[in-house]
Amino acid sequence: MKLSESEYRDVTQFIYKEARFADNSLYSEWEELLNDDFEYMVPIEHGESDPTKRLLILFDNRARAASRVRMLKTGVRHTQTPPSPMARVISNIEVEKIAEGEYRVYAAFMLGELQVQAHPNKHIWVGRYEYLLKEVEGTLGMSLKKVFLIDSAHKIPALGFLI
Amino acid sequence: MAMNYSEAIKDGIVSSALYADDGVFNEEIEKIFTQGWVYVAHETEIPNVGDYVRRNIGLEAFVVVRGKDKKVKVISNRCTHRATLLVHEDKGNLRGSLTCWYHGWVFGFDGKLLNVPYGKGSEGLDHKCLPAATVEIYGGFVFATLNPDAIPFDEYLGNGKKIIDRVLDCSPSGKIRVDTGWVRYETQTNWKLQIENNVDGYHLNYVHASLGRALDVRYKDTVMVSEDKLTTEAIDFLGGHIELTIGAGYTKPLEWLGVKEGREMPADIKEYKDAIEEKHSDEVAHEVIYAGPPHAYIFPNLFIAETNIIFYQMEDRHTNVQLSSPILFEGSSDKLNSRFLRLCEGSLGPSSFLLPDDGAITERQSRGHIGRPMDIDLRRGMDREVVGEDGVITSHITDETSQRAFWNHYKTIMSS
Repeated sequence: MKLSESEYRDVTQFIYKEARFADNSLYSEWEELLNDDFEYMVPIEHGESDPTKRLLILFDNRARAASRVRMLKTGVRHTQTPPSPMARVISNIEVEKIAEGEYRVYAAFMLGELQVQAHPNKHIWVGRYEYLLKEVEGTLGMSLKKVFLIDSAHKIPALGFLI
Repeated sequence: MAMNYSEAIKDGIVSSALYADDGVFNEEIEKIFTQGWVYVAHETEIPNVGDYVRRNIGLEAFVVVRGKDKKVKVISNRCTHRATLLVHEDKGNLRGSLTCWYHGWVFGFDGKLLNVPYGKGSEGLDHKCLPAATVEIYGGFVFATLNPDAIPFDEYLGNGKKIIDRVLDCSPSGKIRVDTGWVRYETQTNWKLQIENNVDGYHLNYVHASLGRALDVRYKDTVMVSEDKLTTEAIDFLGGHIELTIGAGYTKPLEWLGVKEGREMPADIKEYKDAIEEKHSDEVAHEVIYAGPPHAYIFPNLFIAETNIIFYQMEDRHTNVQLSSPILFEGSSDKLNSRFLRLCEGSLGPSSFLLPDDGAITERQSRGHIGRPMDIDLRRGMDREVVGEDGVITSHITDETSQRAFWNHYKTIMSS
């Protein structure tokens, strides 16, 4: 479907806002962006892979995402106490309009994280994002965020923040 | 300076130098991981002839492969010519043989050297076959040793067999699968800290405080209540094998599968319960339905975390990787088995609700090991342990009986 300039702008602004909330560990603000059918996935495998048959690194439905946020907000989620200072750069954004008010978005990202919970250590996360954004009652929200880490099949350190 | 293990491990006190010393680490690689038996794979990872997974024994590269005779082989992944890795991908299928991409040496699945290109120049030279480890399988769990004179496998596994039996009891078919992929979580810690922590029944209220505060979890009643109310136990099964009987604290059927009181049991779980009751005696069925699979460690690198498996591959003294994967029941419905996938993601791995908090705390602990050696105090509960006729030691779940179990066995091996 044809995508208008203003739709493109709204979608990219949404993506940047979501990234800013995640980077700054603004958990409540981040959660407000989620639709009820939200799914959050960090797969190990990058090809076609059926999550009912294969293990993922992370797979939250909306309820589990809420639990994740509640844990982060207790202040004693040690893996993110204190929250890691982070900044991510999102680029190569492609937006596909798949229905009225529904957009599939592909992007690449680099995320620098300073892990400050034990030995201060800088870690660079690199990968691709895939999002499904849907308008619900006139407001754009996130129904899917899929994170393809370049090293998902290899060893990775703690991933306690919102990637 | 060589470590004096009898002095460094004594009366429930261990020296912090045991985690922080490179000499100790190198000695562990030799005495525990090279001379002893280690877990390498589950045989369902390589169902077909030629299927392989790469695994380390100690620090050394090996290939676990299904041979042409359908048997599991564990062979060196280092070409006997100049040590080049023969397979570099983590898993796959070898079509007929292993060929080195450096000079084209070809080996069979049993390690036999089959061909050397430009053979004239090799005439009269005793080029070598790939070294193979001795392999034993119990319940699909593949163990290997590089020591031709290692202690007999049955003696090594000891009471660990009962632990594996109880895992298999939980599957209606008596068979399990561990073939859905591995999550690899790296911590900047000595490997022994992860072992100690996984068999620690004392830390849950603090390390997992966020879980306790944010969620209504099944752990709450079994390990997060007051000391007197806890009915669960820490068990030293000898030989370095250890269990925390977390399951004994469950009071309702299939709590370990997330069934909540007052809610209707989902159809796939009901079907599972019926199958277990059909298969087993009342006593065993009750154990499976209430307690579920064990929370137990099999020395030196395998951990059965209820419905999951963890094994450890270390890279150096302070870098440890935990690989986790769920245990699925062969023949059970996809619906039931997908629950184990989601339980695994929820509890283990770097973004789960449990493990990264253990990781953060043990990384802090690891930092504490730097500096002058200090006494690590593991004496909790020494006076209330019960020693059974078979020598098995049982105590309160919060007691450091489980850590002492590890260190006692470690000391025996490292002092030999």
